[in-house]
Amino acid sequence: MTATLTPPRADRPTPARPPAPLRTELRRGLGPWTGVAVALTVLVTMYGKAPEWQGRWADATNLLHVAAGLLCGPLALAAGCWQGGRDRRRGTTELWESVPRSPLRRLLVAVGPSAFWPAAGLLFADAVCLLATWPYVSAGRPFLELLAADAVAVAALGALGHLAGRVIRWRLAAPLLGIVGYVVLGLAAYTAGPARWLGPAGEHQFFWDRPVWWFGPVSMAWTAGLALAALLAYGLRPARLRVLALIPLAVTVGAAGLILRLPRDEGPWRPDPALSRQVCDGGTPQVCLTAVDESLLPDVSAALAPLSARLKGVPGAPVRWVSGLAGPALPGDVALPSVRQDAVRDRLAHPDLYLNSAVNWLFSDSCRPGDGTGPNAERASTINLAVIEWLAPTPEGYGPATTGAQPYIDRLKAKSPAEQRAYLTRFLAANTCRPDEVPIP
Amino acid sequence: MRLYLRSRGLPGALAALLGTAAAAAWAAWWLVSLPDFDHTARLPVVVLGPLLAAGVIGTSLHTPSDELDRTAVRAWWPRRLAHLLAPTALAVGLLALAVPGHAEEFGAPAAVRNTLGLVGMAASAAPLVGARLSWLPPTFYAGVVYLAAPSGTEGGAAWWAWVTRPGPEGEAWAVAAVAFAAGTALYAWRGSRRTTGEA
Repeated sequence: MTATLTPPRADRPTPARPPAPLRTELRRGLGPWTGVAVALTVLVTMYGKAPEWQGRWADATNLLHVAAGLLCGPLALAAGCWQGGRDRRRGTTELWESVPRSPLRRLLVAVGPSAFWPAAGLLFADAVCLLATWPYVSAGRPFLELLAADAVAVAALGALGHLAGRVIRWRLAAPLLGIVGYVVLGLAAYTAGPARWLGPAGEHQFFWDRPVWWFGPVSMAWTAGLALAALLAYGLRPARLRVLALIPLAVTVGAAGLILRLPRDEGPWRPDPALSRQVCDGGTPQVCLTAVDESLLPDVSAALAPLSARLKGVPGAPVRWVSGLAGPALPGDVALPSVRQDAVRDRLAHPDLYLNSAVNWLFSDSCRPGDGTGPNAERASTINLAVIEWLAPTPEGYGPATTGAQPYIDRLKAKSPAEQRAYLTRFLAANTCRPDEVPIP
Repeated sequence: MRLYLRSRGLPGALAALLGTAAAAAWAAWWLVSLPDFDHTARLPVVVLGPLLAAGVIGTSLHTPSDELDRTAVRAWWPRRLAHLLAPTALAVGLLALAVPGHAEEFGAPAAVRNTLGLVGMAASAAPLVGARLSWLPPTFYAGVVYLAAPSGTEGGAAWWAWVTRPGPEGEAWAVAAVAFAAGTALYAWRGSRRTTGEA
């Protein structure tokens, strides 16, 4: 018996599949570094201003939007321009022409890193900042559609920069484009009128507003359509196909038309009653803040507690301390200064300073021209300062010198509680715009 | 000499510096003439003008014949030094003239300091990432600190945000001077990085 020798079966080695060109493009060159630079730019900017935005979604979204438009947009333009000139610098333009792929497909693959990485870096930074805001906010929601529109705008600027880099043969093209981007986007942000809402850095600081629902998608259509039209006009061959670029161009023009029809001042922003709703504590007098600052209510109540105790039962004393859009609405309401200016995240950073500001607001009458004059004007002003310092001393390093008011402060402190209440009643009844009415302690 | 100047594109760079200074002078005048603004509004001019000048000077450090240059018998560092210092001196003079008055805020001293510091950053970048990309580190730095910088000096802002500080601050000058000295020395010593295959 003979045995046949058969060679052992061996699996055929699977041929290694070459990576997709887009994947290779995304991993090489300046693209990933641009993403890192964009993310760092936003994160460092936001870190430096954390107390200003980490308590309200509107503040966080607004500063992210400004940083994206004003800083990341020009960076994406310049980096895209550099990336666009790569093949010319390397002398591989003709090599690319020999590749069996359509010019548009090659262009889109090459543009990929210039558009993707700035947007990815921005979205990463947005996510970090929103997560850092989340634990401290009271009401509302982050305007994700606006942040997505910012990412699309930055990607579009990267793509436009890439095209500029392909067209312009000048070594200064990239830095110049970046600086022109800073200037143009910065000017657009400060322009009055509806055109400012076309720019990706238009600022809006109003805590009780939300954008109209269509603004985010339409902004995306405006910027993405512009970039796509430019890409099609440049990359489509033969030339007769370039007419297809009119489709995204029409979308862009339509979107820009919608944005330009927005009201001149408020643009896409509309009041949101859910954000400006009053939230009050159970104290006497009540302290009322808007829903967006609800987390600060315990701190504000505690800061005002010494003043409330001293004013309790005094005729003319506040019935409610109110803060927000509507201001004092009922008899006995007294306006509070903005809580967010003195807040860090969801805590009041300087309760004594806030109390001092609240007392200043309590005793500030709306004077007319000619009021506050006369022989007793200086004395009345000094007494006003003395009463404020007696009720809520200005913290060290803030406010005016109180040396001149010290005799009055000493006299107020020396009074019995009943005398102090009687004096406060007379002081609250007086119009501080008329110096002769201000009672001397 | 003429061949050297032309091979580095220095005539174009000098024209670009003149254009930068002219644009900066116009922008400074225009900003101050706006109804709600005063001389303190010139901060963007004393940041962006020197930034563009740094880009112009940094990209001019590119040499198209690096390998050939390195075979020369003479030492290159004096030429590199002159190549960096001469356009920098011109840029410093032009940009100082572009923002006249108010030296205590954003006037000539701030423009001079920022030009020196940002040129130093670009010169440092040339041996590391190549002369043609040397504009990127100063651009990135200016972009990062422009909004992040506080209005006061808290948090050591005079050190890390020196480009946004008013003219007379010593700390900001110290950082800019160190950046310029380090960049000049590094570039004179090493020259620009060879970027293979890039014309």
